[in-house]
Amino acid sequence: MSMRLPAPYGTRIDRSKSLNFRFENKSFTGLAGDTIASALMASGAWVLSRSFKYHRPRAAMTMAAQEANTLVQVGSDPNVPADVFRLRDGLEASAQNVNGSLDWDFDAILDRLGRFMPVGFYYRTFFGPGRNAWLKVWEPLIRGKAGLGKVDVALPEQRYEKVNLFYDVLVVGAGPAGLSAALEAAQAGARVLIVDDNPELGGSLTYARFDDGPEATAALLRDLIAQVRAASNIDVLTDAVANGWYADNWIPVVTATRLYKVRAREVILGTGSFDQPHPFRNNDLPGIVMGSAAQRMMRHYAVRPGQRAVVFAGNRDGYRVALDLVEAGVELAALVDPRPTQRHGALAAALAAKGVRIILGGTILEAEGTSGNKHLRAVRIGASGGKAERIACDLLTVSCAYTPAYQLALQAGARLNYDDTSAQFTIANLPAHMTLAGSVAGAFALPTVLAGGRRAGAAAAEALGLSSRPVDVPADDEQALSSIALPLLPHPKGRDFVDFDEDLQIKDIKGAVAAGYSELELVKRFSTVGMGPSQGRHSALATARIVAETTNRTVAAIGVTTSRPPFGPERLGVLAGIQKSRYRHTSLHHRHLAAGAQMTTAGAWWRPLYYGDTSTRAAAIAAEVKLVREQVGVLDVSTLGKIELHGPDAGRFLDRFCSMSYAKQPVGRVRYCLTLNEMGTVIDDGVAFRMAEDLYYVTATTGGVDRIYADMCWHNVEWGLDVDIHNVTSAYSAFNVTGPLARKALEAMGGLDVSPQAIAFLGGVTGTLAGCPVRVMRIGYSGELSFELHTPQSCGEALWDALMEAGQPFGLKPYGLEASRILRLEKGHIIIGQDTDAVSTADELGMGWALSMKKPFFIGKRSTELLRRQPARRRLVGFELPETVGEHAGTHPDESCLILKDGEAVGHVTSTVFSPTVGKWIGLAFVPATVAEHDPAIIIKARSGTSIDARIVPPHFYDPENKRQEI
Amino acid sequence: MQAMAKRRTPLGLSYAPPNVPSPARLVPATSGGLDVTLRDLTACDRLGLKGRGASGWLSARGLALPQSNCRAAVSAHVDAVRLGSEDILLLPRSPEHPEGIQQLRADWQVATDVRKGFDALREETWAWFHIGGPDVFHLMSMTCPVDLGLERFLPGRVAQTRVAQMDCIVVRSDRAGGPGFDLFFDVTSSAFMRDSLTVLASAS
Repeated sequence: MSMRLPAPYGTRIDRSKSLNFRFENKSFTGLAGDTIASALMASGAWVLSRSFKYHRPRAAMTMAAQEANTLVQVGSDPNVPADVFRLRDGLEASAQNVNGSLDWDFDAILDRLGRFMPVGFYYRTFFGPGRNAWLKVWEPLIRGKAGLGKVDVALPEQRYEKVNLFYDVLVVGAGPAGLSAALEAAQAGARVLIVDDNPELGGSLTYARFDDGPEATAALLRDLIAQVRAASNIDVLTDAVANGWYADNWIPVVTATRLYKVRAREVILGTGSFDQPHPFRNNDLPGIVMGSAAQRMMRHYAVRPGQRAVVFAGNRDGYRVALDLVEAGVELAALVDPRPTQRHGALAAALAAKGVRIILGGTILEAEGTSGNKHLRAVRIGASGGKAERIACDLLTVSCAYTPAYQLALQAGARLNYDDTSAQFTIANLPAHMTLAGSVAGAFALPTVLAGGRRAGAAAAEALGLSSRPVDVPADDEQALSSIALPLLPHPKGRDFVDFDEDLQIKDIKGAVAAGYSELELVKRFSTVGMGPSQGRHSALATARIVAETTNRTVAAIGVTTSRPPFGPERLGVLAGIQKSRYRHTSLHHRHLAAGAQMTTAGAWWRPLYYGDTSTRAAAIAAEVKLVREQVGVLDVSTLGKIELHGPDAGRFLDRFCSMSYAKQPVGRVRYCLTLNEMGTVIDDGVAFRMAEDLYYVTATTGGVDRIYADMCWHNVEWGLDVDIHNVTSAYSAFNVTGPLARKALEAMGGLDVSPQAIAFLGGVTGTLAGCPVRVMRIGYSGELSFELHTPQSCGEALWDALMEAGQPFGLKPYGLEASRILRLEKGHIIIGQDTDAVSTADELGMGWALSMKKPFFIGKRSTELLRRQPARRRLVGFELPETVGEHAGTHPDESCLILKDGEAVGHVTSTVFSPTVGKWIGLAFVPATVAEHDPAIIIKARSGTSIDARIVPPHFYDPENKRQEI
Repeated sequence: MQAMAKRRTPLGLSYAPPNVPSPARLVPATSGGLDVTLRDLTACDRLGLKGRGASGWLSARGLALPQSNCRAAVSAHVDAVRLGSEDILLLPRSPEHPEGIQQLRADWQVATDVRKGFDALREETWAWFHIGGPDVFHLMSMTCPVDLGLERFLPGRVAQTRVAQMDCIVVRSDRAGGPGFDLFFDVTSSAFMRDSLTVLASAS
C-alpha cells in the first residue's frame, strides 16, 4: 500500500523521477528529493537502526537529523542521518549497531537483561573474575560491541575545501524570523549571509501549520523568498550548518565538502527550537514521532505517517498537527491533551467539527509495540478520574514542549535560565554583536516571530552604524502555551526513555542522583546522558527537571551541561581541507636532482642527503667523505639562516646577544657565535662576518634562524640600540667548498684572490666570482680547508655551474648531508638540537672557550656564573669503540642509546657513526662529569639490548691540532 | 672584467629582458577549474628599502610615501608600498617599464647620506606573483584569511597576511584591465606557492 499523499504534499520530491536504492540488502524505490528515511517510510519500512544499549528497533523521530535513531551506513560513510540525507539512484545503505541483521538482531536479548545493566554499571563491573579479566575478556567484548558504523581506511583521497567569508550580518536559521531579520538588515544596507541546514529557505513555514492556514503560509513563504532573492546584498547557504561560535563572531559553517570560515560583525540567531519528547513506557517505538516530524513527513515528502493516529497535544502546535493529519486523510483516534481545561477553543472546535475526539486531562501511560517492538500498535491512555483506555494506532505524535536551540548563544557566553511560567529554557546575557530572533528568543506566534525578526535585523543594522526603522513587535499570545511541564514519573517496568541515544530512562537519571552525583555535569559523566549524537537536544530539559525534582532545586539552578562546538558532527576531511605542507627549495634544487641526489627534508627545506643510487648508499656516502678529505667537495648550505645587522650599534647588539666579543672584531674577520638563552642553555650557533663598521652578516642554524631572528627583534626593541635587523636567509644561496684542493678550485674560477694572505682562516671578503657577487668566509664544518661562498640566490645556479666546471680538474663534486654529518663528527663539532637539549650549557658541551665572561653582559651570562658555582653535572664527551668492531658489525651504538655505569643508566649517546676516515665507530655522549674526568671505560646499551664496551676520548677524532683547516 | 652571471628565478625564468611573462591560466580552461591566471614577475625590478632613514631618504627626493598598508603612486613610473614606518617596497607601475626603479636604485646606491636605510634585497628574498582572472577572488578566499572582496579590498590596499599557509604580502593591483593581486612571499617557496594555487584552482 502506498503511503504517499497527493500533491501539493511533497514540496521536496519530484514524483516524475524514481530512484532505486538498497537498504539492508533489500531493494526499494523512492523519488528524487526523498531522504533515505522518507523513501523507506513511503514503502512502509520505518526501522532504521537498533538502539545503542538495548538494541531496540528505532526509526525517525524528528525528521531533522536531531537524534541517533536515523544514523546509517551509506557506502563507506558511517553515521549518515537517513532522515535528511538525500536519496540518489543506486545508493546502498545499511543499518549500524546490529548483530545479525536489522530485522533479527541477536543483541536484542539485551533488552531483556536491562536489570543487569543499571546506570553506571560499567564503572563497577569488569573487575573480575581473575586479575586480567578486563584485558582478556571485557575489553575485547566491549570493543566488539562499541562504535557506530565502519570507517573505510582505504578510502581514496577526496577534495575538501575551506573558504573565508566576510559579512556584516550572519543570520543563522532561514525560518520566518531569520528571513525577516535578514531582509531588514539588508534593507538598511548591510551585507547579509543566511545559513540554514535545510535544502530550502523557510524553516517552519515549509512544514508547520499556522493559524492563517496553509495557503496564507505558502504565500508568506513565497513573498519572503522572493524578497531575499531580489536583495543583491543577501547571500544564502543552504544544506549548511553553523557549527559553532568562536571569538569575534567567527562561525564555522560546514557543508558536505566545505568549511566556510565566516566572520560577521553581527550575528543573528534564528535557530528555532527543538520539539521535546515525553518519557512514557516504550516512548521509543517506531511510529512515535514529534508532531513537527509528522508535519515534515507530509509536507516535504508526501509521506502519510500512519493510518490511525493518536495526537498527544500539550500545546497549540499539537492541535495544529491533529488538523494536518485529519486533512491528510489519517484517521485520528483521539487527541489527548494533558491539561484539564481546553486552552485552544478555535482549534478544538475545528477538530470537533471533523469528528475528532479530544481527551482532556489525559496522559500516555504506555505504548505497545508489534512483535519485536518494530512498530507502534496501540497506546494506553489514562484520564483523570477515568479508567485507562487502550487505543489501537500506528502513529502517535507528541507535541508538548520546546527547548530553544541555545548552543551557539551559550558558546558565545550567554546564560541559560528557566522560566517556570512558560516551562521553557530562556537565554539571557547575550554578548555584544549577537541577537536572537524567533522561537530561540521565546517567540512563537507568527506575527510576533516576523516582527521580532525584523527588529533583530534593525538592531544589527544599527550596531553597524546603518540607519534602521523602528519595529513594533506584537504581544506573543502563544508563548505561555507552547510548553508544559508534565510530571516525569518513572514507569515500574521502565523503558521510558529520557535519552534515546544512550538508552537512558527516568530511573537511570534518578539512579545517578541516588549514587551521589547530584550536579548535572556529574550526572552526565556517570550516566552518559547527553553524550550521544543529539548532544542533549532531547534530554537536557527532562534531565534538568528530574535532577531538580530529585534534589529539591529549581530547574534554573540545574541548567544544562556546558555547550561546546561543534554543534553537530563534521567530517574530519572538512576540518583538514586541502592538505599541502610547505616546502622550500634552494636555488640549486634542480641541479641536485639532475646530479642524482637522494633528497631529504630539513624542516620545510629539501636537501641532498647523498648523491647516487639508494642501492649504493653506504658506498656513496663513504666516497663523499673521502672526496672531502682528499680532494674537494661542495655542500649546498643555502638553508643556513642569514641575518644582517645594520647600524652603528650592531657590534654592541651582538655583544649582548651572543657569547663572544664582536664590537672590537675587525672588519673582514669572521667570529663564532654561540647563543644562549637566559637560563644559560645553548640555543643556536653560527658565525658573524663583520663586513663593515656598521654591518655584520650573521649566520644561524637552518632550524634555528626563525627563533634567532624573532629573539633579535624582541631584544632590539627592549635594548633600544641603533641597529636594524634583517633576515636575508632566502636572499642568499650558499655553498661550502671544502677539501685540501678547495683553494685550487676557486683559483681556477678566477676573479677573486683566495690566497691565505687575502683571506686567512676565519677571514671574510666580498667580491665577484664568475660574475656573481659573493661574500666569502674561511669557515667550515669538515675540518678541511674551506670557503663558504654566499651569493644572491638568483645567481646561485650560475655560480654553482661555474664552480663545478672550474673544479672538475680537481675532482670537485657535490656531497650531501650524510657525509657532512660524518665529517663534522670526525672533528667533534656539535649539531645544535642533536647534541644539545633543553638544558645544555656551553660548559657541558666543552665550549666554555666561546664565553667572553669579561663582557659586562650577554644573554645567559648571569645563569652561567651561577651554574659555575655548582659542581658540574655532566659533560658531552667523545667516545670510540675498538677498531675490532667493524663498520658492519651487527651490534653498534645508535643515537639515544643509554650509557651504563655499574648497571645504571647515567647518560646517552647524542651522535654516533662509523668514521671511514679513522676506521672506528665514534660518537658523542652525555655522561656524568665525574665519569668524564676519571673513568674512561663506559658501556653503551645497544638497541638490541647488547652491552658494548666503549672508551671516552677527546671529541676531536681527526686532525686534533686543526692544522688542515688553517692551511 | 667578468661578465655578469645569468640570473634565474626559482621557476627557471631569466632576468634578462624581456623578463615579463604573459598571464597564463593556472589550470586549463577545459579542466572545469577556476579561471585564474598567474604571472611570475619575480625577475622584474623592484627595490626594498628598510631601516632608519629609508623613508626620510625617499621623502627628501620628493616622493610622498603612502600610509602603512597602502600602495600609492610616488612618481610617474614608481609605486610605493608602505609595509612599515621604515619598510618600503618600491615597484614599477608597470613591470614592463622598470626604468624608474632602476634610476631610484642607482641614486640610492651612490647616495652618501648617513641615513638612507639599507637595501632589503626584496628582489632576492621575495618571489613576485601576480594573479588575476574572473575567479581570482574566489581562489583567494580559499587560502587567505583577510577579506579581499572586490569592493572592500580596493586597489592599492595592502595586507601582510598568510596565503597558502605562509607569510605573504598581498597587494590589490589591477593589471591588464582586470582585478588582481600582487603576491610577495618567500622566494624559496616559489614552487610551493605555484603548486598550492594550482591545486586550489583545480576543479572540485
